[in-house]
Amino acid sequence: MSYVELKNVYKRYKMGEVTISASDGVSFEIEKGEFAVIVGASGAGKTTVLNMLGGMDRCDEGEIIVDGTDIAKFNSKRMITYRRYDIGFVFQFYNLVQNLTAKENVELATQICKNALDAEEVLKQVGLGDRLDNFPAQLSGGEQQRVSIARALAKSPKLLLCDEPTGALDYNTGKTILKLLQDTCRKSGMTVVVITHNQAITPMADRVITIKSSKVANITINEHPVPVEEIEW
Amino acid sequence: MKKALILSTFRSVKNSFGRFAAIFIIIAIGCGFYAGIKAAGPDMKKAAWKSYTEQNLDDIHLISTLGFEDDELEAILQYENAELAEAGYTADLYISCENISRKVAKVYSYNPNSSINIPKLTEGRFPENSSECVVDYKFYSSETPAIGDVITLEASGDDVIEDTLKSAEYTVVGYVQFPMYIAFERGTTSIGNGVINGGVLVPEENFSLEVYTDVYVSLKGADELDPFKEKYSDYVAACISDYEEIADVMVESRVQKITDEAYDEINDAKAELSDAESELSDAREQLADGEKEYHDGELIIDDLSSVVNELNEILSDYETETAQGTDEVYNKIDSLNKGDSFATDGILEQLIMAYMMTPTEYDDGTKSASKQGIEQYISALNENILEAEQSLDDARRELDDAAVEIADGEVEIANAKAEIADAENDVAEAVKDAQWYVFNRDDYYPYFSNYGEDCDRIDAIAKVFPIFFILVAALVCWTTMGRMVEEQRIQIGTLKALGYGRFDIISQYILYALAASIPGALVGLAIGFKLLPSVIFMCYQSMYAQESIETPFIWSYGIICTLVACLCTSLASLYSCRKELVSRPAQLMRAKPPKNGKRIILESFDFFWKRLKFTQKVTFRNLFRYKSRAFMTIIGVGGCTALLLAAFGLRYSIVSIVDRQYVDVFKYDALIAVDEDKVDFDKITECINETGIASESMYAMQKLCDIYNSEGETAEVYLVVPENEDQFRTFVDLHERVSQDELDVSEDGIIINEKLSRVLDLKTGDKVHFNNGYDITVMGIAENYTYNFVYMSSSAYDKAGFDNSVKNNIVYVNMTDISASAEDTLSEALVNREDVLAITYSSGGVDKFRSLVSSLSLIVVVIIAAAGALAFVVMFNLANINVNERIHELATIKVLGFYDGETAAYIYRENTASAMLGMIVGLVVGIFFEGFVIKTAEVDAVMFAPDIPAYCFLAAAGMTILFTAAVDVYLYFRLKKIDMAASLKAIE
Repeated sequence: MSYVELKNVYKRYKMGEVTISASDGVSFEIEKGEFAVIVGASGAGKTTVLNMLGGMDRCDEGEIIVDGTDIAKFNSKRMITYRRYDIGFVFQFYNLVQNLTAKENVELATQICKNALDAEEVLKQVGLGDRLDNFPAQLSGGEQQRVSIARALAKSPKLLLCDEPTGALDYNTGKTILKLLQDTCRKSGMTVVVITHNQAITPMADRVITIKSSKVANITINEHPVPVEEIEW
Repeated sequence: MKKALILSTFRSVKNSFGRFAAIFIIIAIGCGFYAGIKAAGPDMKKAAWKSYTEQNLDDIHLISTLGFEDDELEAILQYENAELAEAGYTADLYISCENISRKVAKVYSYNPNSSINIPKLTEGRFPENSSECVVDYKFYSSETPAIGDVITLEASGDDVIEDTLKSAEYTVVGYVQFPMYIAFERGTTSIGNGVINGGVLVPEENFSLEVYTDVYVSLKGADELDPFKEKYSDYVAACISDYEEIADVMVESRVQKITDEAYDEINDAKAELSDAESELSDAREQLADGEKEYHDGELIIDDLSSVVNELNEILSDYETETAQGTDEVYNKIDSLNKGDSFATDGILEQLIMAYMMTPTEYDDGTKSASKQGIEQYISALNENILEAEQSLDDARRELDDAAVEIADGEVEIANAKAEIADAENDVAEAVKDAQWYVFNRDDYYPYFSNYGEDCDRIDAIAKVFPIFFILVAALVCWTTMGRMVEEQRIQIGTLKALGYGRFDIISQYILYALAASIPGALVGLAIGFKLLPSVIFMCYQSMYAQESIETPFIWSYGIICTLVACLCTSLASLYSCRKELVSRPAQLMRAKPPKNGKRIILESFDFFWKRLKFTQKVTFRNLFRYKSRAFMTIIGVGGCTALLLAAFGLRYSIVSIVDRQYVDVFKYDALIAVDEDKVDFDKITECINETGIASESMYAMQKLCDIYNSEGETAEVYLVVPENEDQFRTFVDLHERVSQDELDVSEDGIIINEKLSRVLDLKTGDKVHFNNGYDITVMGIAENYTYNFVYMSSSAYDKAGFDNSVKNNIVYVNMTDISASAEDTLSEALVNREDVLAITYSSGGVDKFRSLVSSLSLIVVVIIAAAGALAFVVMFNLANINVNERIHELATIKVLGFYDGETAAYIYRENTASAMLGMIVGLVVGIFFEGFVIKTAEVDAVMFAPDIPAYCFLAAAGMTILFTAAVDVYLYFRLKKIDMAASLKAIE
């Protein structure tokens, strides 16, 4: 059995009398330690999938099995526990708490986790060893995203979920962030899932899941993923 | 404004209903409270005004030392500003009936055609004949006679009722409410215990007074003037001074007339007197003549008696010497015949007759009188003498009578002389003090000025409390509207980009603000104008006799309130929009850079900062970061806590004084007022002791006098001089309020009460003086809440050189049993004593006071409720804004896996910290605020307890905590509902 498994997952929103399916029978698998990319156009339903996988939203139908447990059946309390210990999120707009320093933003996550890593260590790992006491406003976008990644990693989650992590960054900075994610995956064996609309970055992934109109259109497995440095877009 | 914008505005009302409701409610509470309290005073004044107008209460009241005659009434009516003038009679008389012991009534003449001071019939009917009367519907501190009772009126002292009224007994046929009595007190008088218990109306024809005692004047156009406004009082004052001029003229001519009339009589009397005197002197002359005649008569009788004696001697010698005897007799008779000193005709005639008779026989005989003839002659003479003596006796009696009459006449003349002198004096006296007194309502009728003052006092509260409310409301609108504009930055940018002008954009927010504040203000006003004046009026009904109040919508206040509310919210929107309006659309549509985090000052205190837990650090950071909001919370919560504390404190200050005064200070159970001139203390003590329910009693002197401080400021005080200073403590406990140190009345000075010390700005050791100028030292300041008292030992009193020495006029009594029946027992034992004027029980004082106090504390409950509502809305609104503003942050920590409780705690910590800070600030500010409110609201004769007990702080803090907790509960669910995915999707 795969580490992550979605089986016929449906998510429907009722908008007045119309029912819109944001996920229409989505099924895929991701193995442990893989670098997976979910790719699709705007509004295709990628984020919905990620939210359900990350325990931020629940599905109406189907199974979402993570490490052998069906999280679709969790109540809201267990859902929070799941987010707390098993999931690390990275967002497009970093979502750092403006009022906390880099280190404190990481600590915000670590103080609620059991097996948390040392905040300073993680920040050093992501290359911010000398910016520990800076506030988000004092950091560049790339640096902020690094803090965000550090915050997710410090929890030592089972899954690192990234929603358009480079969406707000310039080309080069975006690349370094992707490299950081790929390196993390390779070095620590962390399972990483990245959502993007950018088809160009798919070659770096172990597994590419293409979503189109709320359905999985295609799943490709790259036997030989390319290092980020070699990708151009 | 374009239709789409209007639509969008109204949709945004629907979408952000919480915010809309917050503005609506806060404006409603603010306006309602402000307008309601503000309207209470004017509404109450208007109620009084209405009843004055309905019953046509006189504007000016005249009384004259000489009374009024018809021509004077005419002159009063002729005055250009007088619309109506009516004359009537009043008299202060004792009233009693079957079940009511002697009370004092003010008896008015009833004229059914009268159109000034029209009494309002509350039950029964008006008198239809001269044996009927109507009485006051509510006697003051006494039972009211029942309809059907026969009341007996009685004059005081030596006066007789007939001088005033033709008959003394009347049947009560109805109850009336007099327009002159606005409160329950009926004023004071010089008879009885000085308190009038009620009014009585008896038909005018019953009065036997020669002149009218009172004239009531209604002024032209005065009904249209607000009687509590300066315009009215100025008008009346002007008329009063005109009347005083009229009075000078009228009094002068009246004095002239009285003097003339009196002197006509006096002169007549003098003429009569001189006639009487001349008659008397004639009588005296006649008496003297009579005496003389009488004396002559006596002489003749003496002569005759001696003749008889001689004749008897002759007769005894007759048998031996007849001839000689005969001659002797003859000679004797001859000599008698020649006697001419007879005074009384009757006697002379008889004697002549006797004489004539004897010679006849004597001549006819042998020239010698026979023995028998002589004997006959003697007896005839004796008879004559007897008769003469009787005549003389009669004359004597007449003369004696005449003498008595003359003596009487002399006394009468002396009396007449004295009477004339008295009459002359009387006239001089009457004329000397002859004066009209011209009063306005406040000066003459009891409690009229107090009513106005009480209304003004509510206004004073209205000045302090509601402004606080309006301020808080403005604050809330400010933040709320500011937040709204900020949230809609992008929309503003979009509209600008679409080409909408500034006016269009801004009017959107102003429209929103007005849509919330105008209906809010109107709803608030509608409720406030109705509710608050009614509640406050209800409170004052325990003191004033006003029956009903109208609670109209007062447009001036309404418009001001609505304007202020609209201005507040619109200005807030304008202010918040100001940056957005000058920004270019591109700037607006770009995300507003989040406020930068930065180090806070606390972090420089390493030892402190390091000790904090992570979450505490975050809390501190956030508190300092959102300074303006924390500040807002502190002001909002602090303001409400201060309001609550002030309200609780005020309530305590009012409520607690009853027990403090009657339990802690006045230890006595009954106070008997006695007539200082008639009193027999031994008898009274005996009476008290016989009841068996009194444990102790003591005499003291209590009198009203003026006291001055060194600046010359004055206050009216009760001067109390106890008979025995050591025993006094068991009746009145004099102690310092804060330290509870006992104070002793010593000979070195006086002890005054706290309020007096404040009014006259006195400290221990300061000098004060009484009317006689004697300086005396203040030795202590005692706890006391009602009236002003000065306590003095009798030795100090003697030293102070008052005109009168100590004359005890009250008796303090401590009772072993203070039940109503025990009080009745004591009253019954004393009430019929002539020297007892009044008995008051502490329990009665407590009851009376409690009703006053409970009415005031109801107002406070209203304030507490309003303050509580305000506090809740403020905190609720601020919490909402807080969450909206930080939705990303909250979503983030939720995503990070914070449990619901932890997420809530994240916000609670900040909320609670700022609320607690606000609470502490509020409690501190509240202390001063309460002090200010108490000073503003305090009544002259009363001191409110100035301290705030711990429970008030606890209650104010407790309620604040309760509101915080309630808001926290709401927040918990609000946070739980945050949609992480949606919140994070939007850019921050």
